[in-house]
Amino acid sequence: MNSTKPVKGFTLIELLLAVAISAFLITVTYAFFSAIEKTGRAAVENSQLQSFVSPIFYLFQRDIESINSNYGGISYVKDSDGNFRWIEFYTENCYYFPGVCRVRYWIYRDEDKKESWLIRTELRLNTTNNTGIDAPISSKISDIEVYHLSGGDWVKGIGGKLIKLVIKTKRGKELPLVFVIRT
Amino acid sequence: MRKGFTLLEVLIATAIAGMAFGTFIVLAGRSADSTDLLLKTTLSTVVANNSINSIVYGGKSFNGKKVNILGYTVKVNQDFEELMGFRVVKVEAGTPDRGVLVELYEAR
Repeated sequence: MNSTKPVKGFTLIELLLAVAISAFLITVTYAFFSAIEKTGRAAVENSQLQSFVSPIFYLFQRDIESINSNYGGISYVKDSDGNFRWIEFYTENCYYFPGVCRVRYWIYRDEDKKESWLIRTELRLNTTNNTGIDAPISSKISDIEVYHLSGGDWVKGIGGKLIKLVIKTKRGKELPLVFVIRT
Repeated sequence: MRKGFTLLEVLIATAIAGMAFGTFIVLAGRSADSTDLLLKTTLSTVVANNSINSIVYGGKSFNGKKVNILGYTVKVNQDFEELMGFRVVKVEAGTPDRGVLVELYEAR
């Protein structure tokens, strides 16, 4: 006996169409969110670099271009392995003391926490002790190299009118900064 | 009578949702583009400052030179101009994709 009652459900074509549309939507949505995430990550990285470069550049620029050599020259001290220990000079760019002060940049290393910080220590003029006011500058710096111009080439060390600091970041990138010692 | 949406309704809804997504992605892209431009301008400024110091006080040449800074490449060009009787060093710096972003001058 034949039944005249209509069969409920989807045809094969309808199912195939639904699957195709779903697959298309999933692909488009995934690509959309993936692009958004990638763009956001790049923007964050750029902002972090931006907030690292500008303060470092202007701080060194103000300190080094305000060097007052009448009180003494720049000293660049390395350890026995040739690694940076500190750079020190007299500058008129003082934040804590009036007039001229002694400024030392050094890297504090905590081997346990595997951290390192660039510290700017400002010392009062005419003091023999090395206790001053420490200001942590950045935790992104792993090392600094100091160069001077000799015969048209950059050579490690201090001398002449120009100083080049190569600031090495923990990510293995380098930020070269060239300043004029104006006094 | 079958309940549901007509094809036209579904198409209009999809178009509206697509426009909303599209606007969002364009605005997010522009925001990321401005941070990229800002960083490249800052890096070009640093490179231009380094170059002009090296040119004026170190006698070095930076014409058409490419400098690597924090993983980015910055192209530098130098020129001289006469300004009120002074010979002025002009340095242009910028990235290959953005072109010249910064110009610096210093009297020799």
